[in-house]
Amino acid sequence: MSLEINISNYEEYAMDCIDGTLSHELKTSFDSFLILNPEIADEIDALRDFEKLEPSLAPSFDKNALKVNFSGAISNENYEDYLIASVEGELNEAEEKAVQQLVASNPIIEKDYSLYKKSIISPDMDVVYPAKSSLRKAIPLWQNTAQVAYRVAAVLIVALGGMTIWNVINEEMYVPRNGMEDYTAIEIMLEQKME
Amino acid sequence: MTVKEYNSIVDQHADGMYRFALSMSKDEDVAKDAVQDAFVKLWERKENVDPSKVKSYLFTTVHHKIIDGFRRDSKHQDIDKTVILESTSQKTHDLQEILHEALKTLSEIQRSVILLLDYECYNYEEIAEVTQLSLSQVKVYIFRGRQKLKEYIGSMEAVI
Repeated sequence: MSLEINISNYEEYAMDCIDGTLSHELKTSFDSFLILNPEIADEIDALRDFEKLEPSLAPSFDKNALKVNFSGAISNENYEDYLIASVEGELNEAEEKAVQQLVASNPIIEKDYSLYKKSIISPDMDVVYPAKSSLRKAIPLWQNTAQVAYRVAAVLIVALGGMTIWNVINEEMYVPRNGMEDYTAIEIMLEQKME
Repeated sequence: MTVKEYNSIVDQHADGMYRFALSMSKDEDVAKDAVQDAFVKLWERKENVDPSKVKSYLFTTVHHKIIDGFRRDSKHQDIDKTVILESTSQKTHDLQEILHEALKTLSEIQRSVILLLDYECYNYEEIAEVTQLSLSQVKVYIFRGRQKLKEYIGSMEAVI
């Protein structure tokens, strides 16, 4: 069953038609629609013409002006690139030497170089994130073996301490029997039985 | 990434991120939100973030949060628009303060690349990664930003 192209859906296929990417079936359907709708056929033709426009070969602006010229010998055009690269430590030894010679030879360039060196911004280390603790996360017990060990040790200490205290208290309450007295009492009992 | 590693990353980078965000936005709340947002995203994607790229990931998130904020803000419709100095009446003799004032004359992108370079000592490639610009674009923005800073402090030299 072929898809019907009509006034409601033709825009979906218009650009594909112009680009020539419609399937044979859709192309046939689209052409049929254009035959029935000549005003839309004119629109499509206008778009086709628009499509054929070629970009001007002449560049509208000098692209090189956008580039940072950072190669070749130092010249009047690119010396600032080198000054900046020198300040940022991006030059190799030979390039750095050339820059220093240039700076030493020209007071205006020396002034520029000095200003570029001053343009390095240092962070104010007194500025800190005010609520760092809110960013941190509580460490789960199983992710902190040291903490687990401390807690087990603490439990053992408490338990042992408790047992020790219990024993001490028990010892204080224990009144040892006098062995001789006990023995004498047994002897008396035996004697009474024998009598 | 364990919680312990994550907390260590907070200790290591939160202040630097905040300084960067604050210098970019000049707004404490915006800076705090950007830092918090970056850490929330890091935690959510902790399994997918390469540990060696954590700092880059965090600064990328902060950078985009601030830049997106500028884009949304009607006062900052043009991303490459130069911000006009609010006032030059409060002149200061401290070079770093002057430089931080001068930062306001840079576009958001220029400010971002200069701060990443100067605050965090990122190299050009790392800045390209954080800002998702090409290396050439980074160099151009740094060049233009540095030129503006130089011109600004040149004009203020009498008070330095």
